[in-house]
Amino acid sequence: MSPTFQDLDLTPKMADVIKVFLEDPQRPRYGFELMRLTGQPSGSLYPNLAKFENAGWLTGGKEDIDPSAEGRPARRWYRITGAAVPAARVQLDALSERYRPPVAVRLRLSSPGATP
Amino acid sequence: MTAWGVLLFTGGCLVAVLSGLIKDEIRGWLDLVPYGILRLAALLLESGQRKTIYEDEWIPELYHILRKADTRPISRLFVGIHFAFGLLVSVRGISRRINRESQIDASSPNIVPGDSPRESLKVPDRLTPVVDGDETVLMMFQTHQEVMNSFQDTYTALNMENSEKDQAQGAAAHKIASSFISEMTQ
Repeated sequence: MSPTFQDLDLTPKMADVIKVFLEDPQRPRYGFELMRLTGQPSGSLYPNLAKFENAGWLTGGKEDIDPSAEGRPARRWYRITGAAVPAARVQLDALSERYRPPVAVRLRLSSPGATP
Repeated sequence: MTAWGVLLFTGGCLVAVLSGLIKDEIRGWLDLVPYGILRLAALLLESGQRKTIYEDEWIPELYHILRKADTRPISRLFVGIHFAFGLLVSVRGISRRINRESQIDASSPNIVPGDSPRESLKVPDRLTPVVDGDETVLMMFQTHQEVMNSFQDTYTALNMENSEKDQAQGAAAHKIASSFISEMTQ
């Protein structure tokens, strides 16, 4: 069972992370992979992952491998939840709208004495 | 001349083997640096979080970084240290965030306890992570508890005192009223 879904206000850094998940919602992502894809250091990525997971936006699990056979410990993956996909799209749209630059105003340059 | 040749050849082989061993030794020690930093970060976590965060997530990720992500030793070491140091810097924030959200979860009627995949991060008692964590916080908590206890005692004593006063005043009023009524009726 996943935790109850809670609304989150996305910051630009959180938006970078959730955008990676939206590119392929079925694909599990790993911490280091997300660091590379978003360009965020571990110090800002992992707190956001914890926040997403606690709010029910992401679900996590461990790799299904035999550590002794593979010779390495199983890594933890994250995947976006079904409920978070539409909410993330809405939030990304809102964030995009918020940061959209204003439409450039076309200045009418008038010469001195010219009638407007 | 032949003896010198054999000696040089043997010496060259020894130097090659030794340099390989020293290289491996240094590489092994250098690989321990990010693990050491990560271990420091883990010490700053709550004890209940160390298993799920440090052992199950950070260590495998660092292992991946050091073994798989980059074959160049210096770059690999740099990425490993960068990863571990970032977590060391933010570990308090991560711990606080998880604790705070666990507490919100526990008090929220919408969330069923035990839902979270990181159930072991949640502590049964809301005050436990505070008590487990920092001695300064623990002292503050104890002081707060003492103040609250003394306040409670004072409040209870005042209540009792008021109650006794009320009873005494009531009894006196009752006595006056009774005597007044008896005088009137006589």
